[in-house]
Amino acid sequence: MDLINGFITIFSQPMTMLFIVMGSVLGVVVGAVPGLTASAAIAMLVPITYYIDPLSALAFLYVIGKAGRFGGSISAILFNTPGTTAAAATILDGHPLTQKGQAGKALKTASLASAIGDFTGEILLICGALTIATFTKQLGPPEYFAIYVCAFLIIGSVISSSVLKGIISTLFGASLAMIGLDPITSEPRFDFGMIELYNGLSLVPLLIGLFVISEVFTQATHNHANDGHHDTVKANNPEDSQLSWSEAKRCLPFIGKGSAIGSIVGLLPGVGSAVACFVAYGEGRRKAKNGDKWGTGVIEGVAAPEAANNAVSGPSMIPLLALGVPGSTIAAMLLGVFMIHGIQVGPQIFETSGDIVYGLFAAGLIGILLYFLIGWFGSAFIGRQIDKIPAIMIYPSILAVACVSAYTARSSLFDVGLACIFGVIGYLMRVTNLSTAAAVIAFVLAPGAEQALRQSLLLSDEGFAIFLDRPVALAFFAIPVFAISLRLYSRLRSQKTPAEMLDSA
Amino acid sequence: MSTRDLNYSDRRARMTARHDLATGLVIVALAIFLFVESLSIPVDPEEPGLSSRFFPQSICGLMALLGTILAFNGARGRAAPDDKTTFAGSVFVRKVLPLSALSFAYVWLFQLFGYTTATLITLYIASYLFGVRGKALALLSPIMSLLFYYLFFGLMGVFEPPAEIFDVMVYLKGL
Repeated sequence: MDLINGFITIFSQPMTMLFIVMGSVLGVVVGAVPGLTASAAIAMLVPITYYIDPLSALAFLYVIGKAGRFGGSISAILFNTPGTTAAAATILDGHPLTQKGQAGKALKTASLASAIGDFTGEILLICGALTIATFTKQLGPPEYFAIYVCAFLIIGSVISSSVLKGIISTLFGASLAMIGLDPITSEPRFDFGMIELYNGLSLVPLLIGLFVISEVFTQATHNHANDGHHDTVKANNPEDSQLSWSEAKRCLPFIGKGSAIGSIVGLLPGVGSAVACFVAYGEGRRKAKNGDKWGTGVIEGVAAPEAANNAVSGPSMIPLLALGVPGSTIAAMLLGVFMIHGIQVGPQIFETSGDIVYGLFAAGLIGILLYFLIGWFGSAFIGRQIDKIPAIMIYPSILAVACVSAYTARSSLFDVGLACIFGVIGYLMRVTNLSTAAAVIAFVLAPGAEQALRQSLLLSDEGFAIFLDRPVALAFFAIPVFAISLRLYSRLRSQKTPAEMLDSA
Repeated sequence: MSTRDLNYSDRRARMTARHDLATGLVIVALAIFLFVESLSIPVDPEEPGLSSRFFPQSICGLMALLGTILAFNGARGRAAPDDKTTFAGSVFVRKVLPLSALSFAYVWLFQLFGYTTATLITLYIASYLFGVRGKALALLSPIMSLLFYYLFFGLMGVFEPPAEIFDVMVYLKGL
């Protein structure tokens, strides 16, 4: 019933509907441009949301995130370059299909699989978030602190190829969040005598610097001289551009498995679409009757990873809505938008701002339908247009938009300078394999973690022993310890000396 | 796997370890700096619970510890197996440094000459640095500057700060 109200809200507000349509188109286009991610686009567009109503703002950015994940498959299939990391596994069979003259079939498979996967994840979000929220309402500050620690460590340990660097990245993000007023005593901290830092760092310049400007700097280091137009192999017959019902039916089991894998991965903080697509591809290939042909251009090899990477989208929002703890970069940015509009995120949100939450769910479902239609009928056209614009003309414009966007949020040139500083820091983090995403999520999580810890100790007569009396808190402390131990153990087991590697070669 | 492949991966691992040493040292330096700064956070001794310094200092302590481990592993030539850094000093100086200097110059130009002049100049130089030449170089900068101007300051109604020295848009509007 609440969801129906959500649909009514969306359809009765033409402006919100317009933003959903724009989000779908923009998301597909941005996702299809290699190097530009949905996260970068959302980071640039967060300041715009200051100027529109909360539901339109959230729906716009949420749909960009969804459509962007699908858009990545267009360049993966057509140009052998994934538009986003989420589409990295789609290349394996998607591009060989293009080389056989079956690009249209591959793109339609990707559209269908993405939409079904995303729809599955969205249903899980709609049913799961409210259910979990009814339990989390009973949690107190000690449990919340344990959840924050769990999120910090899980994100830190899985987001980078090095556990150490992942956790350092989260600590760096948390240290940035310490700038500004103390949440309990309101004493100024780390403001270095600058009035602009008195209330803390704004999320917008941080996002724009770490995600957008650092990407422009990274692209500047690439040699774009060889970025010629890609030749597409024309379809030999009309069926090569179509996806028949029998072919779609053949893909359905792989789409189902991919959706399930993506939904589970989406629930884990920080893991993300890139992991989901490879797990689904590997699992699909292992179970497929034609597994030996995967990698040579089979549509099932496109369907499995595409369903998985889009199924991540909905469940990754569950920790945000049920706990107020973002588990992904897009969720962290949406949390920023909630905060800009003064909406308290957490288990109470279903009661305090239910219309916005269910409106957001409805927007997600409409967005899925829209990007499916765009993908089914227009992805080849979008791909061709993107191929015509040289990357060297896109990135200088993005640098300018990023700077103006950073200014837009608070009409502050200080924020533009800050975004430029974070651009350099973000570039250095990327090339040294530190995670900018982990830093941003930690920046958003840290104030809540500090508040929960200090409130816990105010409640306690026995200091830190309060955590020992709370079984839920202990369980959340144990999860990351187990996860990190498992990862380190598996790494130690798989480590071989160079001599052993030569022997086994 | 051939010996040549092993040599290559060995070289990459050693390069990553060198970068890890430098990164670790930077992290330790940052942690120490923040810890020293945290000592100036005012604390009320009568205040119950944890002080305002506790959380920032804990983060600094952990950062220093993990930074030391990273630097120590780097000094021993050890890096995580899949961890491959890509930093190249010469590329940074040739490509990234000019572009980052340009972005800082943009802030300064914006303040002195307003949006239009600052964006025109910055976009022109950024396009040149990316390798745009010919007609595209001449057209990209004015077209995009005007497009963004009407998008942000026109359509969205963002406040346009007055230029300290001279704003070409004010001059054009006055004609």
